[in-house]
Amino acid sequence: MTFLKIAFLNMIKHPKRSFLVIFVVMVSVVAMIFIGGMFEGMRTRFYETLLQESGHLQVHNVAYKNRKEPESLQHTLEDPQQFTGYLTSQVEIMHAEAIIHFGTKILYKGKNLFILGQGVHPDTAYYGKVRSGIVEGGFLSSNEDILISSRIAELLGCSPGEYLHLAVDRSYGSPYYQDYRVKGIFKTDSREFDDYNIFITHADAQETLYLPDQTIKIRANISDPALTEEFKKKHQSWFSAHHAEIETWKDIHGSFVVLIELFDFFMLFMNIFILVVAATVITNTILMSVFERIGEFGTLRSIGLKKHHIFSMILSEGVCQGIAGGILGLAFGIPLLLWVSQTGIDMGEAADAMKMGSTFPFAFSFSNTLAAFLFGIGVSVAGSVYAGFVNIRLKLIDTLRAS
Amino acid sequence: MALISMNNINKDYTLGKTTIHAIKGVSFEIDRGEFLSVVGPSGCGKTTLLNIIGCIDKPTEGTVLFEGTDIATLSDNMESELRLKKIGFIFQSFNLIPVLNIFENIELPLIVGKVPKSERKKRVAYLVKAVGLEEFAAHKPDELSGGQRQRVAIARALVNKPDLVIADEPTANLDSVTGNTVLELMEKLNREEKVTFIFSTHNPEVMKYAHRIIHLKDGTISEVKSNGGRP
Repeated sequence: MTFLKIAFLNMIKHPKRSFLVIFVVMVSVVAMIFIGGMFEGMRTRFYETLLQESGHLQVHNVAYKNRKEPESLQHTLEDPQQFTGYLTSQVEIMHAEAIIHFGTKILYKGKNLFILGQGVHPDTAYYGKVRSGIVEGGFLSSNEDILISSRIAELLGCSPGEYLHLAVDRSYGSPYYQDYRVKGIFKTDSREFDDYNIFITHADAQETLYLPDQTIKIRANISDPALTEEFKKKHQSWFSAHHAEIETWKDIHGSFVVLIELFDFFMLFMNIFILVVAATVITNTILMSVFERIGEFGTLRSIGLKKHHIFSMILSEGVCQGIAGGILGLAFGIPLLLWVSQTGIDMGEAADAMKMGSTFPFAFSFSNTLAAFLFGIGVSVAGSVYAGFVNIRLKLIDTLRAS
Repeated sequence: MALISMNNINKDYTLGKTTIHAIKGVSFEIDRGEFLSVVGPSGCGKTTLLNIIGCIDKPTEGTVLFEGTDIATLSDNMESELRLKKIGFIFQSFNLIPVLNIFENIELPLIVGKVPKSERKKRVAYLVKAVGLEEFAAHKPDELSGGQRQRVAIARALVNKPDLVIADEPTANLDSVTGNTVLELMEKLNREEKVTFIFSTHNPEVMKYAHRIIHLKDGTISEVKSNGGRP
């Protein structure tokens, strides 16, 4: 206790040096919490977005990949229920449903827009951001309903309850149009998504496009995403026998998965950078503080304190300063992160291009926060350990001469 | 058996390419209860000799026996233990711990020695009274005069009831009146506590207090004088 008391009193006696160490630890912890929160938010949003768009697994016609146009209706899956039935009968699969993507043109009072149509079930497990982003009207509930984004509604000048025409090329090549009643208007955090997507029911899409008992894709969610590869291998032959191919989310979003790995690497680099800067400043400050008192440590050794006593005193100071800086870092870092995570930071098109919406998301993570706190203490302790070792390696006579 | 026995002590320092012979072939013994002074001009090797006796520095050659034990054979921790339990130090510039008050400064060696708290309090209270600083026990060192600080250092040196107290120029930073008070206190404690004192000085007024005086000149003993009379 006496050593702790001396350490604590020394911190008070040298307020500028103590403040500097505590401040650097605090800033490092805040920076780590902030950066950790940013990467956690990005990763969470990234996976949420990916899974909303693709599911964990997708099944499509074996020739689907060879299509000449992105929204071609040439390579469909016959009898979608046999696929969804097979998938949902597997214990690992939580949900499976058929989805149709198609190219279309919206016509309303002399205005028209080329756009991407999505035929989904009214109780779809996907596109949660559309369901939660309804700003007027409601989600799809019956046939001849259409959902459009607020930007499209603004461009066309239409409101819920009004009818607009959907012009398509049917599966056999003939043009066709159908009237749809605007059931709801949605707004998500991705301008790109809002600009290019409208939603009708899967049954309407089958009828409008003339895809009787057909679909373009089946999406499925698995209980443990880590099992997707194994599931694919295990069931590939069944799908091949039915002229279908199964793909995992990694197959579909390979380049984005690499991007996430790059994020992780960048985060590691940032943390190492913070560690090096903080460790240098803290070690230097603690070394200066220790060398200022080298004569005092010499006196203590001359009256009988052993080297490990001196080492403990220096370490105690480092631990005290590390804990103080760490707690201050938590006190500033957590509210800052929570505040930023309320709204995110608007990064515009750059973030949208990475399929994360235009807002840079932040998310609180207990493990990241704990790691930042321990990091702050660790850096301070490491600086003290170094200063302690340097001190006790000095000869007693040399330390006394310093006084 | 002598408390300290020094046999043919040599101490060399290397400064660049030059070797300085600080102590050259010094041999003498210190008996228990002595009040001994090492005197000589600046640079004659007084401090070096005291540091070697106090296990703060090691001789280049020769042996130092403390109660018959060669201190060269002691490990670092054993040397610390010897300094803690058998030797007390009084420094020219007092060397008190600035963040601790007077009571705590004196108590510190007892804490390191794991002396029970009740015993510590009793011993420190006795010494605070013995050096006449009862009123200042709760004060910090920087609130005391030079003489008072040196008295604290004396109390700290004596707190573990050492066999030997080494004082390096204990009055050098004090005025003559305060210096005399400090020496009288040291002599009183030597007489009452039966503690062996060895102190260095280059002041003829101070050396008068010693029972025996060892004169050092250029690292060698030039004269040993018995000083039966006290001032």
